[in-house]
Amino acid sequence: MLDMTIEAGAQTDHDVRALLLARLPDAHKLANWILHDPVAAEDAVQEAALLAWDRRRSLRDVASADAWFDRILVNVCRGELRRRSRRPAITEIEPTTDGTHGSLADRDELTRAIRRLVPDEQLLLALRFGRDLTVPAIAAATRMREGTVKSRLHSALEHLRAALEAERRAERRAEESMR
Amino acid sequence: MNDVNQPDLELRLRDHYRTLDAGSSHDLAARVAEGLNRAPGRRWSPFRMPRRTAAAAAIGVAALAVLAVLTAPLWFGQATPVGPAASSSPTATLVASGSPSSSPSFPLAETPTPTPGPAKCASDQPTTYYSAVGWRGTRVVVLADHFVGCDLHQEILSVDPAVGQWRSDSVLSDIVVTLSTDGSSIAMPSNDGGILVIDASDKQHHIPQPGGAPQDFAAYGLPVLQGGGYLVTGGQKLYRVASDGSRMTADPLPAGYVAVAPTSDPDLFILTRTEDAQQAYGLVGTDFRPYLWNLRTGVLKQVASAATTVEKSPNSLAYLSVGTGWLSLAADGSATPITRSAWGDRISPDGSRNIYVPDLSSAGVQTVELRETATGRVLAKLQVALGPVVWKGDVAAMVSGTDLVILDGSTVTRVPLP
Repeated sequence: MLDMTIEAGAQTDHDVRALLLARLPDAHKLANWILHDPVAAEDAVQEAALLAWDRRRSLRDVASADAWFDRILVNVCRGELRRRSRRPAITEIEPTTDGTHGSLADRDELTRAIRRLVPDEQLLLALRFGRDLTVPAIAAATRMREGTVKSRLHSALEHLRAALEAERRAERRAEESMR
Repeated sequence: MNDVNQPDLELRLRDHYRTLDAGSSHDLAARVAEGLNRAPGRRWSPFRMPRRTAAAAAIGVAALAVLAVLTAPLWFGQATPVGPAASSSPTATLVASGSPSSSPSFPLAETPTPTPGPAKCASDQPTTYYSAVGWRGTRVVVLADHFVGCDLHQEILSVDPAVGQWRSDSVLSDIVVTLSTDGSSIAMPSNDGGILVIDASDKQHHIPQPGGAPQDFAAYGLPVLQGGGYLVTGGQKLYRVASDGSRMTADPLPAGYVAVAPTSDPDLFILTRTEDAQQAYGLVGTDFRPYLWNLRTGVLKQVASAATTVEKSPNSLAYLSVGTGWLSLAADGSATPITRSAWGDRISPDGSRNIYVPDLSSAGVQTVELRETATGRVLAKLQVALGPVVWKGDVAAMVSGTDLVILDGSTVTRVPLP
């Protein structure tokens, strides 16, 4: 935890810099969970770090530094997801059509299904099941109300089930056309 | 339609994220570190460039450079002929308070830098934040961050607490994050990848990045050498900058090693393997294998399996921060575990005094105590919102609220900030 190394009340630029740099591995992981794209995740982390640096004076309590930076990163990722939803996808994972049903195929299927969801649903799933945040923590990170988080998480899971089914139908069609 | 029940789907999602590989991001730390060092949001910088657009941007930059040369008179509002003007501007990466750079031999072409878009923080009130940097002689050096709208201007100020009159030592045109002072001069990375030194008489010296040095040269810190001057952390040679900024020497290191930190012996240095420095987040908090190297004899010895930071020690070669605590490094390379606070700046360099902070989790005003380490005797108590502490012997200085506070034994002096 950052709290072990950064003392409260001593948020010098040096401290904030150290804090941001120490957060990078975890931030990259979180961004990749949200974006499902390591390169885009790197860009998001870089942007978030620089934004955080610009706003470093708003960090008043080191104990909340993790949440502070997560909030900035989540917003950057949210923006990226929204931009992505408005443009045709450049990178698409091709459906597996060779009949394999291993974990890789399952992962691809789940990744494609998640990408079918609206940006905020993708974000909430990553925070809940990737970051393992509680509903109140997600609410704090996204500035949504807890009730909104609950209902959107619920609908995200419903939509994900539907998206998975759609993926399977598409896969079956592809397999049939190969025969 | 839904053939996956909720618990199964949740389990699958957890497994999906748990095993989702973010891949390696070897240059992310370096890019961010450079971005923070060089262009924190106010100036255009390649380090702010997303990886995906960097290649395209490079072409754009080239075009911009051509355009800049062609339109230089327009940018600068001058009607001078195009050509020589671009390279005739003085170094001027740092604007001195009345003192020109003393290194005219490193001219930099002033390329107009695109300004950021409409300022979303234009309505913000101008604000200045101060932080103590160190002592230069009898003066305490303070870095002032002046925020005006979205713009940040930095200024180095100093004051002799006995006199109480503030002086502007330098207005910085680059945004710097880390400043080092050896008690005489101030050193910092410059925007062009070199190093700037402000000497004791406030003259500025620009030391260019050596040929073949990596882009992040000097970005990992300039720790103070025993006897004055600065070491370049991460250097593939032993780069040492003279205290007065007049020169930088480069001595070869053992092949495959980089410099990490000096020790209290001017001939002994902490090195690490190049691969440890180059790993993701290397030299910014990731473990590295520390080696003690003797510049004169060439003897190299690994002194611990891993360390994360090196700090000055008043009674040994250096302190090494390791996963389980601290080690004190002796001249023979042996390392002994010691009990030491994680916050070294709360302890005077000779260890005789320390500042006791009752609530480390508080960023607000609280009563802190200056204590004698050996006896625990309280020398002074004061109400401060504690910031970084800089020591000169056993005299401490810190910025608190609107004052610079000096703690000298039982005497507490408050100098109002400018």
